[in-house]
Amino acid sequence: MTASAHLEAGAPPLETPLVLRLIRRHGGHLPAVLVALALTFLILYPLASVVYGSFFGTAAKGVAVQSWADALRQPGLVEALWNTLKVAAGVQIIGMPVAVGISWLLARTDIPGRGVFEFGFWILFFLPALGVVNGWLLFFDPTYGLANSFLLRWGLVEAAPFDMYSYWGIVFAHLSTYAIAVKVMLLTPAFRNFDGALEEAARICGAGRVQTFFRIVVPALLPAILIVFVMSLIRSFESFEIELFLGIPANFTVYSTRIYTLMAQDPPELQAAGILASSILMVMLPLVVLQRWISVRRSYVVVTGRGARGPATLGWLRWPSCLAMVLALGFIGVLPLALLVLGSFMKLFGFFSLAEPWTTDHWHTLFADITFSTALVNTLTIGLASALAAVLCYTIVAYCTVRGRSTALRGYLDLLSWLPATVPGIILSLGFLTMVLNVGLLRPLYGTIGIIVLANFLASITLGTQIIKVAMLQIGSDIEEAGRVVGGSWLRTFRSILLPLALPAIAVMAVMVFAVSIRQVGAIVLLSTGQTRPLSILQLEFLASGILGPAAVIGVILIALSLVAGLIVRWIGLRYSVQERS
Amino acid sequence: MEQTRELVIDGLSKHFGDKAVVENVSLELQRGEIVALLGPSGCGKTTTLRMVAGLAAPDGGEIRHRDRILVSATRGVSLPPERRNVGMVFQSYALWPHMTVRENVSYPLRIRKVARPEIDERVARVLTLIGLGDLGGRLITQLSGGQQQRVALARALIYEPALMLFDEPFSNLDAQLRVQMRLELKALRRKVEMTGFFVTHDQTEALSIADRIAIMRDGRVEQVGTPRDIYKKPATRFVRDFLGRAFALRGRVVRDGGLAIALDEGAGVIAIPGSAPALSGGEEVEVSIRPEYVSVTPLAANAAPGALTGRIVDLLFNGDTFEAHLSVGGQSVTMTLPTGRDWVEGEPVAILLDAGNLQLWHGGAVVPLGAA
Repeated sequence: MTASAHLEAGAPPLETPLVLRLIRRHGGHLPAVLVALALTFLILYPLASVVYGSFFGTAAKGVAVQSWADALRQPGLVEALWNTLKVAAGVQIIGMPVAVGISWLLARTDIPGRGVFEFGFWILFFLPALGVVNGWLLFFDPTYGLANSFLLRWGLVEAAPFDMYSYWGIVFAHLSTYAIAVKVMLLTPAFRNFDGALEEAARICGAGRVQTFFRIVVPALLPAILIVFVMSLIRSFESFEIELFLGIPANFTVYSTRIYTLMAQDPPELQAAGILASSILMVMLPLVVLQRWISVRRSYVVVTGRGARGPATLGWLRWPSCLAMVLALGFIGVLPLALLVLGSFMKLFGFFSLAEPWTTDHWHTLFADITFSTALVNTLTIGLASALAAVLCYTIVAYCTVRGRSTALRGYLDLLSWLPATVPGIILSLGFLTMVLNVGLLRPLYGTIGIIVLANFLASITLGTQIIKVAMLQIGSDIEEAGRVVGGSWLRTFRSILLPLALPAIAVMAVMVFAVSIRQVGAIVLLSTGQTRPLSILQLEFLASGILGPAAVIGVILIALSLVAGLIVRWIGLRYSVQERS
Repeated sequence: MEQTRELVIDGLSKHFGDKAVVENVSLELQRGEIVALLGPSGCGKTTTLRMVAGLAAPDGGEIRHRDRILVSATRGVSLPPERRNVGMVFQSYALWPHMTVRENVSYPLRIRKVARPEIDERVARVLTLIGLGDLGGRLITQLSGGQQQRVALARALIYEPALMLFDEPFSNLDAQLRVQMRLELKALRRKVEMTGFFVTHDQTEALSIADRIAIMRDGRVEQVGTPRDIYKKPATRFVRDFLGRAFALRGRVVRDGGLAIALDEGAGVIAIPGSAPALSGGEEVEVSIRPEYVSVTPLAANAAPGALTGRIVDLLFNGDTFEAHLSVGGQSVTMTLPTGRDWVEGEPVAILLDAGNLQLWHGGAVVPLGAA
């Protein structure tokens, strides 16, 4: 008897056991649920254990548990928090207007070489900060910096005016590395997509050029500027290595370097570190909520996607502004790199006055040194393993976020994969350390490359899943549905249709994760040991102990790797950007 | 022709949150028949199609193909799309941009592990059938919209699926190409037997392509029938107005021997051939008729008996026709007038309705007319 005949006969439908029906009906959710559970643990447990530690300290003997109020009275804790805010404020107050101006020039005017400049800022963003700052020392060091000795020699100043080892040195280091570059990278496309018709309408209504800029362009772009500002602010709490290297000699501690020194003590002051971390998380919470709120409310962003009309003409200012841009990029981009390469070949870092200042000794000695070669191998292992983990896992996370069956679960996964970007590396590091020590199952990971890869994996998850998500959204669900309807299983469709189409994005993501992982400092600094230490940590240790020549060599190597990675990403982007459906 | 029931949709429902997108839809497909699901956007037609394909899960009812249950909410049975043996032409075509035309079209056969020589032979045949014989090596991105449309059709046809599902397949084409594709699809159906659904919001497309039309509104099927039947005899006002223009006038029932409807301001009396016992004298009703059964002539002394009188209020010249807005007994109606004569605004006209094609409406429902 056929099923339909069965139904027509009016007989009750064949009952399938409830469990089977539940699995059939909700089984499709299972993979997404598992991914969500794993991520929830990996992300929330470290954070929770940091907060827990701030109240109850560590189980280690001999360390008394104090109340928050008592612990905060410890010398330097409040000062470290205050200094953190000071650096963030200094960097943003200078960086934001500069970045807005540069982005406007690049996106909305006819300045020659726009594309090249934009690419330049992108590369700048890609450079590891420590190497760049190492290069700056040759220029701005209080005793031997070229800028200082030049000004002194010509009698223009009484005393050396520049000092990298200071508050302003730290602010400058941030500005010259990623602080301005990342803003330009985000703002320029937003400015470019701004509908030029709005500007034209204002001009036709009788507004002048200046009036149009301040009354129409700026208010219309304010949401974009605001979100970039909030993101930058969140990111400034991320910074660690610049402050450690430049701040410690100047006795200028911020919360992240303070956590580091607290944890480097014996026994480590877990509670105080936890209090600092928790305080920063509390300060950041409103910013994080604000950022989420703005970015989820898409409508708030003015990006219309419609191509703008012809750019504003600069007139006679065209070439002068181009020249200014060349000088600025040359100064903050090319100069420190050139100096760094020079520095790696100097007998005594910064001492040009020696009879024979040049040598290749640092390169020879380092490459013969077992510490260095171990670190190099570690770096490559960590970079490749993180990239591999990213390819395997971010693709699944992104897929579940984009195509998951349950809307609630998709939203949760989206939130979860976005959260780590807002957690400063040093706090992640601290959380992972306590997690590994507290969870028996994970304890074997302590002191292994594995835990470093795991920290890197989490530190890059936002960036990585975002790249894949965008690609998958562009691919469109119907492309996939077509694969199912013609008779392909889910796996077959994923393998032969979705994966090949997402491949350029996956490749870009892998290279980005590699680049971010090999320069990672904050997220892994508390997790690495003598055996698992990568180049970035070795470089930081060299810098902190004033071994500047060998540090410069490592800086050159890491920067060269980053540049290659950046060029690969750029090449894939240009080659496959037409990969989307027409 | 012997009728074989191919597909049965039985009490299908689907909710998104509290909102019912498809509500208790029941439809049947006979073998070799194409049924258009027609309705405004958001009426549930695409969701119905996706539930047949297995791309959406119903929360009530079931779908059976011959003696196979494709999906049944009550029994907790649901075949995944790949096991339903349906072909689908997507609105966006959903062609795979990383494959050539040939790779796109042969993919379903490769999945079915068909032997290589047979694949080549069948691909060549289907490409010739749809007129793309020599474009097999092209990338999808190198094709025009119309060509992409054909590839999508070929990909759906090649594995001879039991059911064909068209999801607004022509809506991305320009008007001229759309008309051409309609014609080609008709020609194709003479060569290949197709059973399936054709989702569209374009009534001309539905009328010209489908064997039967199911008009959907707010998740429900409003009327099912052959294109001619439901065009001429719509069961609801919504169907009437959605399928084309209607010439509609309100008046009062006059029972003076036969049945007639008198218009206000002495614009005339419409004699109704038939009886409607439910209506009593003096009740307000609506008379409607398709405009092609209406003739408008300049008002002359020797006007045809039974003609209504009206006046041209606004006249819009459209090139091959005039769009005339008439006032008839204080009501306004729109008509298309031929350009053969120079009509002028303000001109009085005589309006003659073809009595055999009249419909009477009372309280939003059609009044069945019995023998006179």
